[in-house]
Amino acid sequence: MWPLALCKPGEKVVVRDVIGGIGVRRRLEAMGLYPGEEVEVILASGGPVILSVKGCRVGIGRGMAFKIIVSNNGIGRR
Amino acid sequence: MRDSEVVIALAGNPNSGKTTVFNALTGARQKVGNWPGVTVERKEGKAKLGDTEVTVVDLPGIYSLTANSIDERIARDFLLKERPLLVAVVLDASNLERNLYLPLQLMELGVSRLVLVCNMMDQARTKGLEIDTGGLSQALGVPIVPTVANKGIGIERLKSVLAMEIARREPPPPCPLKYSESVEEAINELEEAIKRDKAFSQMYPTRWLAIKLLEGDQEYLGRLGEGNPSGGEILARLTTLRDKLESEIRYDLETALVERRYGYLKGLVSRFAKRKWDWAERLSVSDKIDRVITNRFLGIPIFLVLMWITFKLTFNVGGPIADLIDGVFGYLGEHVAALIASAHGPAWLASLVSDGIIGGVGSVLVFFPNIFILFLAIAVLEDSGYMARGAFVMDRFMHAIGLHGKSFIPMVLGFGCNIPGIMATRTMENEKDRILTILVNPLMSCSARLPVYILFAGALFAHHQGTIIFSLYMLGVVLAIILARVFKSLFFKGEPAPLVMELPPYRLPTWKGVFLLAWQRSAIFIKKAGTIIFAAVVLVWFLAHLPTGVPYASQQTFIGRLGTILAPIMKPAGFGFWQAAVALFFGVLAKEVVVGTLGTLYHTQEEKLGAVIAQHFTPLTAYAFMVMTLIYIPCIASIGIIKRETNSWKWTGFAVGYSLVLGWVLSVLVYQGGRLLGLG
Repeated sequence: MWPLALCKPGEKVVVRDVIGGIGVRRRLEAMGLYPGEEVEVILASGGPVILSVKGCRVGIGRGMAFKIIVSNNGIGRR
Repeated sequence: MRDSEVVIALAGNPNSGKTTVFNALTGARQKVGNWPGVTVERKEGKAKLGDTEVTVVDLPGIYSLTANSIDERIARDFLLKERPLLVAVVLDASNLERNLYLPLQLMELGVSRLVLVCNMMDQARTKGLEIDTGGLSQALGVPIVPTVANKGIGIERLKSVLAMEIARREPPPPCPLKYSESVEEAINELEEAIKRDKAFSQMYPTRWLAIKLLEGDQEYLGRLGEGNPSGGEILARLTTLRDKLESEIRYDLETALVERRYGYLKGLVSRFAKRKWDWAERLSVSDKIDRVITNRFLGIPIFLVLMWITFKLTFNVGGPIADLIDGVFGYLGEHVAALIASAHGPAWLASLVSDGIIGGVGSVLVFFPNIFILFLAIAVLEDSGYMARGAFVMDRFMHAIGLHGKSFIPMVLGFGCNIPGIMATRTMENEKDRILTILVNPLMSCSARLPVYILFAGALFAHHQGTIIFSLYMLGVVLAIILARVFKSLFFKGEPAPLVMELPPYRLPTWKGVFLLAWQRSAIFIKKAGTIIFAAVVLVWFLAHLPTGVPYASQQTFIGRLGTILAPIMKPAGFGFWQAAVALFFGVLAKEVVVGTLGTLYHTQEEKLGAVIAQHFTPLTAYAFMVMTLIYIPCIASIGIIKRETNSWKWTGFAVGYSLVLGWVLSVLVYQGGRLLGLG
């Protein structure tokens, strides 16, 4: 498990945890980002991370990208 | 049938084409009002459904019923508390899974009937999606209308479905989503406990309350506070049920419920939205553009180039049109005065109309082309999808100075006018970030200050006019950066809200959308010219004439006396004469008024004012005067909007106070420093 900020473009990962208060978690959940969801990293070049979440592009600020914990086990197992 | 009291709410995710559907439903019959309780603009319109007329309310875009920003809170509260008879939820057909999350929550809430509007069907089709709206509608138990709102396709059908649903007047059907057996059992058990608490159970349907409590929603838990005996009973039951369930599923219940909802939607979408071919999403054009635009090294240079182009357009295209309008007002002023004279009207009336009203209001309206073009350029950046990226590109920088990525759009808008700039902060989730952004926004040099710069820089820096004006814009930006940093560490300590934003694909802006947006924003300016500025120039004109018997616009008039009292304050800044003091005094009404007031006081026409200014000011005092104009007190309209948006006299007073002190100190520094360097 590692923070989303360390992912490379093209990588497919599963969200494991979101570090933050309930407000932040709810906000991410409403955009389709919650533990168990598989996402694809579209762009990650040291700036913001751009993800494909349920077919939509979602930008994550650098700071937040360190608080979303992902892993690559369980991909495709849903 | 007369049914104008029937309210249909229009909800949906941002970027789902909600506004397009709203415009298609209501046509031009819209008005902007205020939301009850909060004074935030509310857009509503009348729609004719057959022979029934209904009110359609356009809610701010939301992803779920959880609210963070003011915008979201408004939408959420409307749906939860006002309980409209019918809610039309607009969906982006290409992204049904996430777009259905909001209507699914509304179905769970179960207070309004729903109609789903499956919009942008054409785009979904080009992406290889074939959507069986009929099947989906049956599975969910609510009507679904496929539309392509920007081409008007499906709107008539939508209207007839809405009319039919209104006529039914039945309570909404039960939500088709069921949780696992053990969760359902827990919901039922909790509902029983909730039903015994009369006050609590009357707030919302009990199933909704039970689900929210199991999710651990603070807002609902808070209502079960201490001193409420049955509240304690519900809480005790809740804790037992939660612990039992969590030990069973082995992770937190909140996530389990969210997963179940999305899992249900995933199942529906895979059944009713078939992918005929795999659209090359991986490296779509939009992603390729993003690779360049959000690049760590290229992002900021690209941003600066776009801003430079924006300002270049504003001045180079707007300038000639402005000159044209100037000519028209000059002609108008002369001929109206002549007309009044030929009709044997009194000379004072001719002077009031031509010098006062036409001259004063005209000197302001002249800048409308510049402002409109600036807002047009900003609207293009917004509509194309760049602005959302801009927030990410500038996020690091904004963080470094204590602001937030989302502060970026309000700050850029501030160059046009601080009012839409300050209003744009409503999308920010963290109240501290928001107030800080509002406080420094007036330092973004708005277009109302431009007439002053053009006059003074043109009169005294003819060969470096552009550089001088640019330096003032930069000064504003630098001050905003420094003050944001200072205010942050003084009053707004703490982490800013995380930046998470949807990035809609880039698209070619539509002429209609861009013009509409630019017009809505710049119309404030015309309205201002007709009201505040009109009143100000008439007031100045009268004060410059009274009392009777003294020469027009002399130091013996009321205005002259006022200026004489104020002038010593500005003496250390080098422009301690009464005309300058009066101009700044009335400039608080609207900063453009500074030019008109000087025109009146030196009784001269707009085109000759520059020459007169050059006699009274030196380059150094002119620069100090421009610095003062940039910084001191936001205009009346901005002060009003700061009060409205911060909902605090304290912060409003602070914004006025700090800018006045800062403006004075800096203009004095410019003048005294310049003299030391031998520039005076």
